[in-house]
Amino acid sequence: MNAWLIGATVLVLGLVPCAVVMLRGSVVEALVGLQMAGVLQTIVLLLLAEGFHRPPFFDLALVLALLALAGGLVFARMLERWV
Amino acid sequence: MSAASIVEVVLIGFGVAVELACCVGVLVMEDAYDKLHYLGPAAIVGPFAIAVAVVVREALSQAGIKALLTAALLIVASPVLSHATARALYIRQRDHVESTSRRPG
Amino acid sequence: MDARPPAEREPDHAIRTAATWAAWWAALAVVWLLLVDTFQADELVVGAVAAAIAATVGTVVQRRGYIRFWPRAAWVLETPYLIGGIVVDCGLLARALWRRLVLRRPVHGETIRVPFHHGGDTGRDGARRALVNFAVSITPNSYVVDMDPEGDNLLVHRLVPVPLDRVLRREQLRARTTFPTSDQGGNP
Repeated sequence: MNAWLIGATVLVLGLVPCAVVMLRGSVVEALVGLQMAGVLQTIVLLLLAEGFHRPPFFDLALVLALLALAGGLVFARMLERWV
Repeated sequence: MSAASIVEVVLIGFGVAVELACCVGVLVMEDAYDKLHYLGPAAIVGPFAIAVAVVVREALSQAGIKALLTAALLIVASPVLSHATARALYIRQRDHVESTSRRPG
Repeated sequence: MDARPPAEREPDHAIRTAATWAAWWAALAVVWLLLVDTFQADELVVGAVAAAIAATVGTVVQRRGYIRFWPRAAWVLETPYLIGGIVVDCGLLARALWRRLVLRRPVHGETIRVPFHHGGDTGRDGARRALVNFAVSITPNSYVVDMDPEGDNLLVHRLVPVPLDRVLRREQLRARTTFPTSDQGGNP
């Protein structure tokens, strides 16, 4: 166990408030929770990549950051008028 | 423990603390407009601190560069997502899809 | 407007298109090299081909006028002020969270309308709108909710009411300056 893995483990706990917001809030508040969860998980992947010394996890973090941006924009656009 | 290790631990601790504080902010703030503000530090300060920690450990190797690129992407994406989400909420309220006692404008 | 006959204008168009394609290719090739971190021949060839395909798509989109984004180089000088604004705003949000969580006092944001000269469909005005939106929204205490082209204002939400930041103050001043146009001749 090293500081990176401890940090990743602690950060995963941050998903709990995000889940509460997504389950209890309005649909737009749920989107905010989802975006926060996306940021958290990107950072968790960075920490795991360094903690396990697995360079491919850095690629996962980069792709997740990109997809979270695209997905967030798609959801926001949909919520304007269609949901 | 070397100076670099101490810097890494401090940066990781700082980044994780900022992220958790922002999660709490998203949870306790009352409406979506207020919650949205806490995405900012979560997507800017936290990733930057973690990316710098990776660079301290790995220097500007492939790992360090990818961590910086990931942080840069999150930093650039944050205002875009904030604006898009806020605009979606504003349009929903304007078109009476979503009601709130605190409509802006 | 270019009064030359079409046959004379074509070489300029071809040169501009080639320059645009080359700029896209160079930028994308740099991104490829940053990601693969190797100079092996097969990786370079794959990167060159991938950058060429993406550069072609980017050039086509840009030449069709879908991207109207021509910022001034001087705007990059605003970066230190943005970084300072982010730091200050993180402090404001931390204090607001403390008030809400520990002191149990209500925290409510506010929305304000800031005068903002919307401008036209030029690349310069498009870049200004996009970068003002970016600059206001990247500082955590505020973000742009909506841009009103008819009303020439920005709808901005702030968690903690503070004086307007540098970008909004400047845009407010710009909007209050009269820009004479053909339909603003002062006729009642």
